[in-house]
Amino acid sequence: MDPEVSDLLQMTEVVWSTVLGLPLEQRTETDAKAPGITGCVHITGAWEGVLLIFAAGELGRTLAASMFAMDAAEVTESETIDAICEIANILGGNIKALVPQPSLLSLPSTLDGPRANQHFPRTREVCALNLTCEGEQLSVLVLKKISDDATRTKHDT
Amino acid sequence: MKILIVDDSRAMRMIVARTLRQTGVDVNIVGEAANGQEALKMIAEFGPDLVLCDWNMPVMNGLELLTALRAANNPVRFGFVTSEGTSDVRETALAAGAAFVLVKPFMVEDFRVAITTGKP
Repeated sequence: MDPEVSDLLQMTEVVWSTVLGLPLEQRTETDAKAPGITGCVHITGAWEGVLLIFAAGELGRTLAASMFAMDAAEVTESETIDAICEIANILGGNIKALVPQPSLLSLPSTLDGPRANQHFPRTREVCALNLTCEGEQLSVLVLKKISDDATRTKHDT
Repeated sequence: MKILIVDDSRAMRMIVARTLRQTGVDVNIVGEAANGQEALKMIAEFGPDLVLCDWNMPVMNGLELLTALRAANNPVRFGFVTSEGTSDVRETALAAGAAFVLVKPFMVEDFRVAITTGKP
């Protein structure tokens, strides 16, 4: 069974309220070319996919400032990466609990640049959130790996 | 209560420390380690009453740390603080000798109950 958007929204809202203490709003438009930072964590095993969290503009720094309880102007790049990775790790771990077991969670990592430049071959989007936090775009996505069988069938036909 | 915090995320170590202070329990955070290997040295040096440890870390993960401690007959109280709340992780952790598993994101009350009663 794949995670649903309602699961993802509930998890994200809980993380934002308990870990970050920041408000979230729904967003109708997204800009895939906006610069920003993406945190990602992979799930492998009985269910395979990736969770991505994209923070546009200065949002990554804002999130780090909240986690480290410091002024955003003082936040370093490594602190921003640490914060984004940890948020991806928390959301990924909670997503992992919803998918078929056994499965494993990777260590988190980050990607720089716009979402439009990031490609995860042989995956499809199973749920996504488009949100606004502190005036900046925030996207949370779950991509599922397309099975070899499905790829082969599609290719053969 | 002397506590060692082990997590590869410095942000999460800060949040755990902040949450511990909010519990109202008399805690003394004796150190922070970024992986199991660093933690082994700090446990030998500081002799904490409780180790609060992440599950998934580079170099030496939380389960490897707990296994190494028990193999060395170190009975230090050990709790996992992890984003991985699946039943297999919980069962593996408790079987290895953990007192409890706290799942991120957590509330202050979850922490207070876990560190004072050890309930998973």
